[in-house]
Amino acid sequence: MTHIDIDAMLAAANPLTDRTAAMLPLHGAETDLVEQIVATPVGPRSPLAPARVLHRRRLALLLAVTAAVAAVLAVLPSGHHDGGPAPAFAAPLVRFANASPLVLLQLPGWHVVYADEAADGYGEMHFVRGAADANGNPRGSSFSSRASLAGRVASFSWMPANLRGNVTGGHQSLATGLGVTVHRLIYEGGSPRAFDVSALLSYRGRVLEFRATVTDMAMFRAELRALHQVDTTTWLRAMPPSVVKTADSGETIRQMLKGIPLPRGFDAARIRGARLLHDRYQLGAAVTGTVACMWIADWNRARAVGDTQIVERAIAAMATAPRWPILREMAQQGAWPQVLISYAKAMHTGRVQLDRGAPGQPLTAAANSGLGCGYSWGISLGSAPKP
Amino acid sequence: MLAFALRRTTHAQDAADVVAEVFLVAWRRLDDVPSGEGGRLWLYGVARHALANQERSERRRVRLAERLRRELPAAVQSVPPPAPETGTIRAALGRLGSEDREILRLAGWEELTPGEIATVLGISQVAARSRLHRARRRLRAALQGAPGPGESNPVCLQEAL
Repeated sequence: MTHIDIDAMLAAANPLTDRTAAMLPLHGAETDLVEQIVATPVGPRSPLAPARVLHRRRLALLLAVTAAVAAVLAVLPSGHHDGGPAPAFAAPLVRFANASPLVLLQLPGWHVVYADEAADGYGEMHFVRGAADANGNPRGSSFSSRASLAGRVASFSWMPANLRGNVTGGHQSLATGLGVTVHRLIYEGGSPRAFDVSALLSYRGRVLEFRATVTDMAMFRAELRALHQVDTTTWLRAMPPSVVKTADSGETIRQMLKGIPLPRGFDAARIRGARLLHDRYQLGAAVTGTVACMWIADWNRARAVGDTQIVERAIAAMATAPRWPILREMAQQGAWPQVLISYAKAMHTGRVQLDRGAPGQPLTAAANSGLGCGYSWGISLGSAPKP
Repeated sequence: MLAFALRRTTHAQDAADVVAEVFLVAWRRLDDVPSGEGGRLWLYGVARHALANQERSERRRVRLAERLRRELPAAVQSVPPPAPETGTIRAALGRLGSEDREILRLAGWEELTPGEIATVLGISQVAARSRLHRARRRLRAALQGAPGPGESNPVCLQEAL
């Protein structure tokens, strides 16, 4: 189960979306509230705030009160990358390597189990000591038990220095293998015998965060000292198969699309995030999420204009989702396929099925929330047709 | 803001009070409200304080929202109950600490980026990313030991969390 699953399930569990809240039948109660608020004394005004600006801002605030909806979608900015290709690895993997700080945790028995990057220059890697299960967790461990993880898990992330926040202070005694010392040490919780610690450091224009579950600070110090910058080839060779095999995203996406009926206008090159380096599961979510959201968008638009042919075509296409090979593969690792298929089934009624005879949530709102059609894949589903 | 408050209160009347307090504070401190998108984040921050005060039962009741207090409980009754398949994750969320739960809600329900979460919580972006990462892992751990959807009880908005 990856963070995409977590985010999708979390979004689907939202008990009240902003859209639903905006449609609550309040019969003008919010207007009453506005009138009462504006009737209250404002208090002394700042000498720096011109009256006209304040007036405009108060009008804007009134609109905010009455609108009751504040939906802003998080859209990742485009990224900046550098570096040239190396002959032995796919170009996207080399680009990822060159966009990273090229740092590895080099201790016997440790290996990389996960690597991922975001478009804003953020990237992260997870390390495990010893054997790992299919989800990248130490075999036999439990995330609810720090004791089972101590000395077996660590992660490392990096981000541009302009995202660093307030990285101040200094722990001169905490050396790393990178030639820099730790700026900030954060105790993340746990017991005296098994606890999480994070260390922040500035390194070559980036902020690095190393986090580990350890039994004592001596173990954490040893791990910090084992952080080393390596050459591109060494770094690339440390990548896990799930990342390496996905690096040629064009070919991987073509393979993933096998057995999937594609909506009109689908362009694999425009799948959001496809050019970033992802774990295979996450790339699968991007591919199937984009396809599903485009079909649901077609379905929604066709329903609005009464085009039953397109509605039926979209339903039929999505009805094949349980047989999509990539979803069947992903089902072994997480809940994304289950979520997507439940929305495919809901296309018959237009509402996500709820229990106890409740009317359910409109599919477009549910899919937007659960599949992230808008904020993850950049696909607008349009508004739901009037019942 | 109403959705934000409703998602975090047990009783709809409390959500009405929080909304009233937030906008009253904003009205009185308009010089301090950032312009643009920052304004929304600022309001969330005020709302979190209002909610915290409410939980400590120290909040001075703002009697500005009487009609909203009256209307909201009935209005909320029209909200469909959460889908049964989300019971597992709601139960898992309920088992997390309040800090983990809140950062996951800010990311998943308010759809805030780590940078925006940092603004709302008054922490650095690095800390926000770190906490979000950690909270996701704990939620995943909670889910791995979670009961099935059919075993969870909450079905209405007020009980969802």
